[in-house]
Amino acid sequence: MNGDAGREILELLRRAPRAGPHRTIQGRPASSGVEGDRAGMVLRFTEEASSQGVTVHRASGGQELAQVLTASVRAQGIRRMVACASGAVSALDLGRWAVETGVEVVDSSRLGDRGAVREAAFTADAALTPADFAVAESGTLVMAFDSDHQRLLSVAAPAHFAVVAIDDLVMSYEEAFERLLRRRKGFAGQVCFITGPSSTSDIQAVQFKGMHGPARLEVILLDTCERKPAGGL
Amino acid sequence: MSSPSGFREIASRELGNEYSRIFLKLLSEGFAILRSAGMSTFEDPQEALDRSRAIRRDAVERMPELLEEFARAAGENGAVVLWARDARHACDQIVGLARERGVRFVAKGKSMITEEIGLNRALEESGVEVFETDLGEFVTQTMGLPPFHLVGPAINIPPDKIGEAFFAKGVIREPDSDPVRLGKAVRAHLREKFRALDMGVVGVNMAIASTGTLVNVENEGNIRMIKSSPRTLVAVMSIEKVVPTLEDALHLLRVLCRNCTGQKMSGYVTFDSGPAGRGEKDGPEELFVVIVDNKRSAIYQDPLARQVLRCIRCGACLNTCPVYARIGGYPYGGVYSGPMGAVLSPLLHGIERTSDLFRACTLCGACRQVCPAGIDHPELIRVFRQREVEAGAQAAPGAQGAAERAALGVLGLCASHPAAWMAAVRSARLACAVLGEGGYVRKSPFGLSGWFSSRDLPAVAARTFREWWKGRDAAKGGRGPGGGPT
Repeated sequence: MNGDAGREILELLRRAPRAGPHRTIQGRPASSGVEGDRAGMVLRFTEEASSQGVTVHRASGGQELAQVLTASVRAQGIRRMVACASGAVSALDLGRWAVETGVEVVDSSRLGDRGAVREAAFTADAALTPADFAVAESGTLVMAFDSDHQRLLSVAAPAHFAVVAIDDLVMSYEEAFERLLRRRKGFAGQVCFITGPSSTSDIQAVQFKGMHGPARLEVILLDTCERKPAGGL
Repeated sequence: MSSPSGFREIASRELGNEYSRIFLKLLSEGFAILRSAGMSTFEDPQEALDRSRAIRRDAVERMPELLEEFARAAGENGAVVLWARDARHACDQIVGLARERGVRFVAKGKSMITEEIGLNRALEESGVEVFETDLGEFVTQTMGLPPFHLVGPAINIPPDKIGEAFFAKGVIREPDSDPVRLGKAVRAHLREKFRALDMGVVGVNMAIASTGTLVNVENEGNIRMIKSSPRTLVAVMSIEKVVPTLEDALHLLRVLCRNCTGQKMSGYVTFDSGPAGRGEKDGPEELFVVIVDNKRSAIYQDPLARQVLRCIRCGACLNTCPVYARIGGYPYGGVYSGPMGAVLSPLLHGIERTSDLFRACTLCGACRQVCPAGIDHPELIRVFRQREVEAGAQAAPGAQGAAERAALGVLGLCASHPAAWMAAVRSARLACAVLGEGGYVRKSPFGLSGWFSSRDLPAVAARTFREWWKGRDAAKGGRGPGGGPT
């Protein structure tokens, strides 16, 4: 029954007179003028993300990552956190950090089903997740969700900490997708761009953060090699 | 589904709505700055605009092939593709999905196409409660209002009125008029719905043919909630949402966001290629893509009119339109307003029923200049006017436009005989002295009240240019026209 409607609609469209040869679009779009070297990209990412209300940190290795997180959760009074420990977050010894800070951490890999994910995400004060890429041109995070990384964590919790490896900082969305497709051998499910915390201006054009998603977004750019911190800056 | 009627009445009323007018003034002034600041962050803004226009033109010209490619790819990703001939057919199928699953309520992302097909009413009539989750859309739904603006449907509503409506509907426990507290109350109200949601409905900003991917753009996070929490997701798209490739979609995103809100990228953009992948514990287990025609394949038959299908719903034309800037979105009668409404609604509802929409245009061309999809609104509006006049002439040959033809005959005579022209100017000046007030003629005793009902005529000046020039020469001691300042 439904295939018929599809065939009918396509048939009608095909029957329409067409314009002459349509203009072909050539080359790649001009990118938004981002320096190609890492220092330039870090600077640009930080500027762009900050302008959207994101706090950007840099950490060299798991220990510094733990310190950054500890300072933030103390400053914000976060007591309960849901964490996806895969990707760049795996640099952190999550169990030890939880004991040291006294934050109750729910490891999302232990969540058995949709109900458990919902319960954890909607009751946490914050979510800690990896991001697959950070895009300098607009201060955007790129996340691909999978069996390790649940979608609800970074949207239902009131604060979101995202950790991204410095090697995964790229200039453009195109580059992020190219590398994502290579890394994952194609993508299924959802890929998400996050640029700043949730916001709205729908009542009287008054803007505020945290409409449905997080009101706070903190990004930690993680140097995983033994390089001296901030050397690239 | 509503069609435009009462345009003049609503426009007159809205001209007296001071609250709307304050907001519209801010919008039209502030938006130009936001948009140009956004576009100037492109290395080459004109190239970026040319490219987005070329992509949309190409996508519309190749629509049948691209749609077929998209449907096949989406199917291979595991989505179920449903086609709908018209509004009724689309609503029936979506209502059917809700009933088969026994859901008591659905949550919706803001979507023009679901408003166009009247989905909320169809669901409610079959006992399924509908929660709009975009803040602006939640306000208009609660208050039973049409959208005022494509992007901010309730942006003109005074917060105290919103507070009253929320209080009456139990969204807040005590009256409030603070925009932020009202927003947070909606957050709390809808959070419980998201958490228990079984079926979500979203629109689609773009459908990528080569990968079968659905793209949604938002700032609030409500669409992410709807695409994450429930086990059933229904994405509704009109046929023109299809774009060829991921690369095209990425460029259009850059241009869309800059033209819509001045942002480089909206807060959240989600790319869904099929339902949740293997082992995922959230995200939809089943994804339905409803592809709605609703008269678009008929519009497609006309190679000129077809260009309205290039629209990406950024709202730039509304924000730049001098007519919209005075009357706002309500007079356009329904879903689509501003220049994009003036070119789309006549094709959806019939030229003869939407005359006021394309008559209320000065053909200034501001919309065409900003349009990132390359739509020539003024040309379409001119053609609608022409078609309306031709249809009228066919219906009643001779009667229609007799006065107009007589007037044009007189004009022709005057224009070809200088003496007749001067005589006409002198008598017009006399008429203006009698009828004019404050430099304008607002009424006429000569059976032209129809023309004057929505227009004022600037009065003819007391002296013609030639008379003024002669007088100037006399005052300066007879220096000839060639003697400019030295």
